[in-house]
Amino acid sequence: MSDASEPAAAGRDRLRNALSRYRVPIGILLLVVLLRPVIAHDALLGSSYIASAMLIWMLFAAAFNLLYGYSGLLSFGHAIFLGTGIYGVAIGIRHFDLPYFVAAPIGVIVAGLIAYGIARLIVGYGEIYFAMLTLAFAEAIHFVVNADPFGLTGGADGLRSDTTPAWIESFRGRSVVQLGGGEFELYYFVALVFVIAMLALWQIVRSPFGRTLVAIRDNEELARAMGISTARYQTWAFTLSGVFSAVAGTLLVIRNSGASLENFGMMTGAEVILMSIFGGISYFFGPIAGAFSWFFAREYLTNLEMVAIPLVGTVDVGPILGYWRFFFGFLFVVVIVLSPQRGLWGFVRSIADRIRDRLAEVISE
Amino acid sequence: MSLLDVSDLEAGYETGQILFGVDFEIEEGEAVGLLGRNGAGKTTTMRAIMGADLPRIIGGSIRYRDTELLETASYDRADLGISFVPEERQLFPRLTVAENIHIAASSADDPLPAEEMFDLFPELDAMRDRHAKNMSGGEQQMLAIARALVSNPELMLLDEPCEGLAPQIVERLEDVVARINEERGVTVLIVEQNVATAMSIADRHYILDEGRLVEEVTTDRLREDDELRQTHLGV
Repeated sequence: MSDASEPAAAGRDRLRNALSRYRVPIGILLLVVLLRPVIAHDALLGSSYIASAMLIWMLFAAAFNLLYGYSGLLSFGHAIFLGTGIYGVAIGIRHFDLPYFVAAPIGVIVAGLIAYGIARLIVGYGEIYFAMLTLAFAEAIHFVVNADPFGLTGGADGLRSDTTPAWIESFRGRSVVQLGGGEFELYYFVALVFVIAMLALWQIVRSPFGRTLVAIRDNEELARAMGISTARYQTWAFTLSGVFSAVAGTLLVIRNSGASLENFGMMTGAEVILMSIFGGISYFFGPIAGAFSWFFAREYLTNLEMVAIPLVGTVDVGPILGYWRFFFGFLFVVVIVLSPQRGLWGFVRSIADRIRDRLAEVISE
Repeated sequence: MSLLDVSDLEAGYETGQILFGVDFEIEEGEAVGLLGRNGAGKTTTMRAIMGADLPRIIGGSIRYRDTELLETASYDRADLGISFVPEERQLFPRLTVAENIHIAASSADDPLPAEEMFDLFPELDAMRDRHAKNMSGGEQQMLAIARALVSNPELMLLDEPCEGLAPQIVERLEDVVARINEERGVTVLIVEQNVATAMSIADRHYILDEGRLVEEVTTDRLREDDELRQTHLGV
């Protein structure tokens, strides 16, 4: 090799190292930039309507996975924290005339306090009891919200009116943000919060705290024998997971124009679990891929009406595909059978790795 | 006063009692072997000391200097200066070599520099960013020992560190553990089925048989007394 090519090779290595070190932030940015135009393409959904809902649920799933994927604790009760974020904003704006940027932090802080309190009570009873206890808390809080205490939560009706921040202008189903003299689609506000929250989650995951969570998940006995107070770490993981879930809630309340009781419901807590497992809980981007697939499958399948099948002609599949959960469930089973633990994202990655190895072989030949 | 004083320890699991009144002491700076056949209670004794994967304690006491370990939370025992190399090369498989060592160091009060571990095990230096699950058995065991040592312990417990490893790696590990004891003054308690390994590291041995301590012997006597080895260890 000649001397001249060495600096170039070193430069390439440095670029490759930087790309690999910052692949998560790069991925997050690419995601928010590409999501809207890609799903709006005619071959896909033909509309960007659900893009902001997708981002919000991606954040919720990633927050959930901080607990499940990184510390190994399964919570059936994460609707509590999403719901607290949602209702915090809705109650603050409607009953107390608070500005959004005051109500939202309050909702997040309250969610954090609830998460910390619950965690202090239930961490350390073993995985299955932990899961059951989160379910019990979710049911209890759902019951309280449904009972409409002090007329705050609206009971089964939720809070549907007078919950929109003053700087949101809704017009024919489009929400426009009017902040700082500018006017832009709600999506970009959601995207900004999403990017900040996801970068924070990424920092947590790769910090010594996050690595310790992984260690505890890998081998709790050994971690304890090394002097790590596993219960304390798990308590903070649950709290942080609740806080970021609530951040997703403070966005969802704008997107959904209000709070509804189902935000606290069993299905909400179950959906985030299914999305995360489907996407792959071993990866940072796994739950994000899961949330994307979930929404994409729902919109795509429920919008598909006519399918042209050669020789048979066009078939009206609308009525069948209305049962999109059935088909998603089927897909779920396929992914779990093919790639348990690693989910869709692991499946995609192993295919990508295989292609890369094959290419490398071809090139070296 | 001895560093570790186990007296009249009775312990077991749901399935039944394993230890029936075990007594032994270890002085500061010693290297001691705990020997016995499969099922003699060696690992249960270790786990009772460390509090890992808790056996049910039925009676007795384990004193470490002035502290009763049986009344100390397992994660606080490490802070007293005890570190543990559990059986089967347990590590944090999804963390890298460097992260495994870093976590041990960050949970210790007065850790050794990580670089010292890489000097001791140059093999690990070359694979800092490799995940522990992608290492060979010998490399994993080196990492397990490095991880236990980086917390700068006074007492290191090793549970069958050489099980299932190739002879040249066993020799390397025996040498490292002996040096940890001799050069750094770390007290060592090693559980072994492989008597040769125990003899190469420890000067003094306790022999367990069916949950009872039956002999206390020096390495020299263990080497010479074929009948003793045959009776209690089957070798």
